[in-house]
Amino acid sequence: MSHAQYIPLLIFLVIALLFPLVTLAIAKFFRPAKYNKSKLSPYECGIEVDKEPERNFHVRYYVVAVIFLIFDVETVFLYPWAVKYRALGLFGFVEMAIFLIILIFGYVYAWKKGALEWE
Amino acid sequence: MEALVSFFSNYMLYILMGVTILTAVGVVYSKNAVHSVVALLLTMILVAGIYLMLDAEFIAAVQLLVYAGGIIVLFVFMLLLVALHKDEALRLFNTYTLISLGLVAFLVIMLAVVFFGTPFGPAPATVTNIVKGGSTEAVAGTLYSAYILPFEIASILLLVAMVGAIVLTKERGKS
Amino acid sequence: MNVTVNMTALMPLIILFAGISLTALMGTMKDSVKRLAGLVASISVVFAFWWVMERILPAIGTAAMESQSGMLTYSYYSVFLSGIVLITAVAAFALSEHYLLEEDFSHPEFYAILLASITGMMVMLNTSNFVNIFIGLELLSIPLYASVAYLRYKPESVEGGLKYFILGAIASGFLAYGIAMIYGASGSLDFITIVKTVKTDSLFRLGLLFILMGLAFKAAAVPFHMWAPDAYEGAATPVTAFMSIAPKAVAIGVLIRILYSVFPQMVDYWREAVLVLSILTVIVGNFAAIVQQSVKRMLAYSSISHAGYLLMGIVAYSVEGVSGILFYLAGYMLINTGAFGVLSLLKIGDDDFVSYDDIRGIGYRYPLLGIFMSVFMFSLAGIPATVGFMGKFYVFKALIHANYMSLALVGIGGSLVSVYYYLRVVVHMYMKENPEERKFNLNFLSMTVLAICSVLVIAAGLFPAKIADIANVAARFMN
Repeated sequence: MSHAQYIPLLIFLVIALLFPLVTLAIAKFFRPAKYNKSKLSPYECGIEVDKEPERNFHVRYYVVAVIFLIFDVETVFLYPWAVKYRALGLFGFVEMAIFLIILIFGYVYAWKKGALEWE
Repeated sequence: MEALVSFFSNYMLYILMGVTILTAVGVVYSKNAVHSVVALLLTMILVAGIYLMLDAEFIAAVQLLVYAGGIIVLFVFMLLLVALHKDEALRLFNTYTLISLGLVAFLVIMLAVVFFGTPFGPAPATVTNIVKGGSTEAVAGTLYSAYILPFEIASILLLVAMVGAIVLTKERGKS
Repeated sequence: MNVTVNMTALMPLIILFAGISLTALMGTMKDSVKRLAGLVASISVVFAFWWVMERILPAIGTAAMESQSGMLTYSYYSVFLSGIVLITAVAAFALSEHYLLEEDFSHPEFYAILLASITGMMVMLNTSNFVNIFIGLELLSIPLYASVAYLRYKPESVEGGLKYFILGAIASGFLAYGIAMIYGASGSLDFITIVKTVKTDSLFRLGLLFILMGLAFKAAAVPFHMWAPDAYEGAATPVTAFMSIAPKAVAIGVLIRILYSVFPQMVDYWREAVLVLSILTVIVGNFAAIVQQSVKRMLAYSSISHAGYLLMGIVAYSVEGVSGILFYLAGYMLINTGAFGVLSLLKIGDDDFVSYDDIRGIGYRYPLLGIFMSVFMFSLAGIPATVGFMGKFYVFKALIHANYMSLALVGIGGSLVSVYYYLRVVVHMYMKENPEERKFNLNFLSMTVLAICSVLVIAAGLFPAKIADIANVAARFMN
């Protein structure tokens, strides 16, 4: 079966999962555990927090995340194109160029609109 | 080793599916939104595993890259934006557990009846080719020739998503 | 790897895309340039319309004009519906101009987003491949979610956008799942190949059911209408006008094409499903419209009920039924553009005055506006000598010819109920006193659109033959 090739991947994943878990378990076994309420406060030292912030983060973080995601998806389209690049030839090059130009236009738009600026 | 290989090929898919359902339930029933997102991340990764076991390597890669890598980032950013501790008191979400359980059960039974009742013939030629030549090549072979128009339209869709996101976050009174 | 691209067929999409990029780019420029965005958007739509009518229409004969083995397919039928979409778009742009200035929130990107939605509609209408149906639907929907939430400082706008988005995403998922099932059952995504393999086994049936659900959602048919009232009410009124016509025409049009030309062997199955949908839609839409306090929300429910009449036409399963639906859609386009257009003028600053209480006395204070609104209301109610009556007449006639007498009676009953709430608008405009004096700015451009719409509503109601002939031709050449 061709699936056998994924067995090393599975073993790798299991080890990768076990490593932090085992480390944490050992640490839990050895470290001292002393409960203190101030350990749970947002700042253990310094100025005390007197009220919750109105909004946690500014919305521009989200715009950056959206733009990241869009170019992430673009990469997905580039991947099979690169695999088949030789067979697709000039036609493939042109169509990917159009695809990229449309998205780069979006990038220019975002830039000029100041969506990437941090004020 | 032989035993491991045969166990892997025969049962891994079902194990993955079972664990995926568990993590998906975790997404819905976690009290803490951050736990929900982590469970969602696990679900996405496990679904990628399912795709891998179904010989769809390309989709598995997309699943990891876009969903586990990208969409989850969006969810985390959403958590940053929304003050969840304030909304908890509002009880915005009713889960309608019984009704949804009934509906889901109905859907699952219906799908099971249909899929098990359908005499699937041999896979179409395209699918056989995919298994033979690797799914990435097969996707490239059709996407960049026969489906060039939807491919280019996808880029317009991405562009508009970007324009929409920027417009919706602009403050009023500023250009 | 040789793909021949038919530029003539591709051109409308390219023109619209040029419009999208130009208007988006204008968003980054000086204010004096920004003001031209509506004009640029309208020009690109008009140019696309001209191209479709002058360059593509003559190339269509009894067979459709195809490009890339059916990826783009222009038939008389799809061109008719494309025409409806493009005309609606220009009217909506013209109405937006005043509305957004009054709102003081006019970004060129608003037009870019709507143009993208129009591009999606063109893709969805002029294709015979399920991949394009799906990506067209996404390109139609995603910009619409954004345009509903466009007035994002208003809670009701955001609420409408969010509801539309969440439910719309689920509906898109259903459509994709249905398409996947059809692909699994037939091994193809191309209409012409699928139609050869269709059997009435359960996988085809379930796939078709899911596709039906996905499209019924876009047409706002009961029980997939939950999003519609909130989205229609929250959106800027010109957007509501656009949303209540174009996506509905596209959803119904594509549904007809899929049901009639891809799954004709399964007519017995889908006929019953559409029958149930249509009856529910007419009943729920009409009765919910009665109890509304806001004219805008009433028109939202009324547009649900009109989706019901259109679905009834599908049940007839005849050329006559389709041509009735096409005529109905053309008329509905004129009426709804007008009705929402009147509401879009009842605006001072950020506030819309669109409840029944607000429109009291409008008929005396703004005689022209009162006359226009009365024309549209009479036409929606299906009073004779208006285009609304003729549309219903053609659809119900087709139903009776197809031996669906009782269904036609349900439709007629629904129309009778609707007379109450449409005439209530007229009564409030002319027979009630309004204690509050409000000075509305009757924008010339918007008034021109309204005048054209109301004249055409009457003209097409008195002389329907011309449009009916065109609709008839369009209905006969679907592929």
